[in-house]
Amino acid sequence: MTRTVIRRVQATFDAKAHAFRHYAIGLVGIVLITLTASMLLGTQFPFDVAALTAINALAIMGLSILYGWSGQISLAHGAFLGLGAYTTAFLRPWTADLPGGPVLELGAVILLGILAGLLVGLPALRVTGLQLAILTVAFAEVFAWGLIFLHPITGGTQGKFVGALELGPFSTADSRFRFTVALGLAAIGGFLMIRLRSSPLGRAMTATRDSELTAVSVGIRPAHTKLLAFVISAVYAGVAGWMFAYYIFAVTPGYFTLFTNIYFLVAVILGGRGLLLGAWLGGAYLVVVPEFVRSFGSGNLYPVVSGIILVLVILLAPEGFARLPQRVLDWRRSRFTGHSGGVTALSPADAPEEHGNG
Amino acid sequence: MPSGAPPLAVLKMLSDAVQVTVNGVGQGLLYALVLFGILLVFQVSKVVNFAHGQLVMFGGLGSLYLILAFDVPLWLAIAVIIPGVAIIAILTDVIVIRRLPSPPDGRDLVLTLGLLLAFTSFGENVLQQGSPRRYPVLTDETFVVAGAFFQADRLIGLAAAVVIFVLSIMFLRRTRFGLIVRAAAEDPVIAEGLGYNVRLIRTVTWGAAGAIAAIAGIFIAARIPVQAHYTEDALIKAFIAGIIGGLHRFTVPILAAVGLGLFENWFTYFTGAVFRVPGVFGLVVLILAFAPKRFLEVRGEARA
Repeated sequence: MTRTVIRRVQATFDAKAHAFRHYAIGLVGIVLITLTASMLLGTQFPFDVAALTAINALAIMGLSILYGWSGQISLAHGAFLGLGAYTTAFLRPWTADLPGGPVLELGAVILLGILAGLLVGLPALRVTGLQLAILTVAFAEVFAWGLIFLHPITGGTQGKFVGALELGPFSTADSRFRFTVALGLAAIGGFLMIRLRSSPLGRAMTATRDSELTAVSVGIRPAHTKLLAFVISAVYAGVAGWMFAYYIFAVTPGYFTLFTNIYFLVAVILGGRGLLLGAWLGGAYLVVVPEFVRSFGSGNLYPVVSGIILVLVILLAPEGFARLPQRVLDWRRSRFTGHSGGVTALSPADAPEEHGNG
Repeated sequence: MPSGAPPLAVLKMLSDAVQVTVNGVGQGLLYALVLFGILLVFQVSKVVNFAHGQLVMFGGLGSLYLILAFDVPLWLAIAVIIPGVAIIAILTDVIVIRRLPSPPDGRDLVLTLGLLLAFTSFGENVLQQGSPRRYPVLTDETFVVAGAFFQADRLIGLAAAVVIFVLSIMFLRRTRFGLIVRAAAEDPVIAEGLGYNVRLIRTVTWGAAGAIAAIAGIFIAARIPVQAHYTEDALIKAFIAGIIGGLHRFTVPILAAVGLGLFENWFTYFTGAVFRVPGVFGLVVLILAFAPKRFLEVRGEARA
C-alpha cells in the first residue's frame, strides 16, 4: 500500500516536472518565433501579436480551469477581464506616481477578481448547463450596463484612458516591453495552472465535474470546489484585464460585450478545454485569425471565418486543436489495428490529462 | 367636473396600466414567438439552437434587404422571406446539425454559437445596407382605448403571435400528425421502428421553426431599427424564459416569456428605461439563485 502511494506520488512529480519542462521550452519557442518574425518583417508588429496572444492565453487559462476542469460553463469571462481592465484604468491616476503602483493595481485587481468570482460563483452553485450559461450572461449584461451607466467612474461609452506602464527605463509604449510583461504573466499563469492540475484542488475539480456523488464519497466538497474554480477563473481574467489595459492604453465598453464572452468560450473549446496548450492555441486563434482575415482586406468577415472554423472543429476535432495530433494518431492506429480510436484513447497511457497540461 | 367622477390622476393611472400591460404582453408574446421555434427544435432534435436569433434576424433584415435592394413591395418581401428562412433552417439542420452525435453532449451549444457568429457576419456584411433602418409599417392606423394609445401595427403582431401559438399547440395536441411529431420527439427510435419517417418529421419541424422565426423577425423589426444585431435582446430574453420555464414543454416557458415582457414593461414604467437591463437580469439572477430547485429541474437536456 505504502509503495503504491509512493509510486503514485513519484509519478505525479515526474508528470509535473515533465509539464514544467515542456512549458518552459514552449515559452522559449514563442520568444524565438516572435524575434525571428520581427527581424524578417522588419517591424515590431509580431511583438504586438504575441503580447495579445499571451494576454488572451492567460484569460483563457482561467476559463479552461472553470469549464475544462470543473465543468462549469461561463459567459461572463469577458466581464471579469473588463473588471480587471477598468479597475486598472480607475486606479491609474493615483498609482501612476507611487512606487510599486503596478503591484497595488494588481493587488486590487486580484481582490476584486476574488469578490466577483464569489458573487457569480455563489448563485452558480445551484444551477448547471444552460441555466448556468444564462446566469453568467445576466451578470455580464449587468456589468456591460454598469460600464455605461456609471459614466462618472467608467467614462461611459467614451471609456477611460490608461496610458503606458512605466517601470524604470522601460515602458509599455514599446511593443517589446509589452510583449515581455504579457509573456511573463502568461508564463506565471501557466506554471500555476500546471501546479494546480496535480494538486488536490485540481483533482477535486475534475472529480466534481465527472461525478459529484463520487467526489463527495471521497471527502471532496463540490460546492467549495466549484466556488474556488470560479474565483480562480475570475482572478486569471482580472490579471489578464490589467495587462490588456496597458496593451490597449484606453478601455471602452466595446471591448467587453456579449460577443467577447462568446469568443472566450469559443477559444477554450477550439484550443482544447482543460489544457494549457489549448489556452495558448485558443489565444492565438483569437488574435491570428482576425489578422489573417484582415490581411485579405476584409476584417469584417472575421466572424464568418471564425464561425465556419468553429463548426468544422466541432465536427472534425471536437476536443480542440490541442488534442488533434492525438486524434490523428488514434485514427491511424485504428486503421492499422482495426480498433476504434475511442477504445485506444481509453488506455491510461494515452489519456491526455494524465500527462499534465503541457 | 361632475361630482362622483373619478379624479384625473386615477384615470391617468388606469390608462397607463392598460398601456403598460398591453405593451408588456405584446413584447412578451414576441419573446414567446422567438422561443417557440427554439422549443420546437429542442423537443424534436434535442438540440439547443443558439443561432435561432439569427434566423429571426434573417426574417426582418432579409425582407428589408429585398425591399431596398430589389424594390419589391412589402407583401412580396414577406412572402419570399418566410419560406426562405424555413429553407435556411432546414439546410442548417441537414448540412450541419445532423452530423452531431446523439446526444450532442453540449456540442450543439458550441456548434450553434459558431453558426450565430457566421450568420451575424453575413447579416452585417451582406444584408445590412448602411446604418440601422426603420422597417416599413404594415399599417399606420392608431387608436385610443380607455385613454391608452395603440398602434394597429403592433396589435397585428400580438394577434398573429396568439394565433400561431393556438394553432400550433392545437395541431400538436389534437391532430394525428401532431401526435406523431410528439412521439418522434419522445423516442425517435421507437417511432422509426413503427414506420414513421423521423427524418422527414425533423425536417418539417426545423422548417416550421424557421418560418415562425421569420414571422417573429418581421414583427420585432416593426418595433425597433433593423440591423444585424437587432434580435439579440429578444433572443436572450427568449432563452431566459425557455431555460427558466423548461425547454421540454410549451405552456410554462411561453407564459414565462409573456411574464418577462410584462415585468420588463412595468419595471421600466416605475424606474425608467435606464434601469431596464439590471431589472430584468437581476430578476433572472434572483430566480436562478433562490427559486426552489424543483422549479428549475431540467429534463431532456444532455450537457457536457
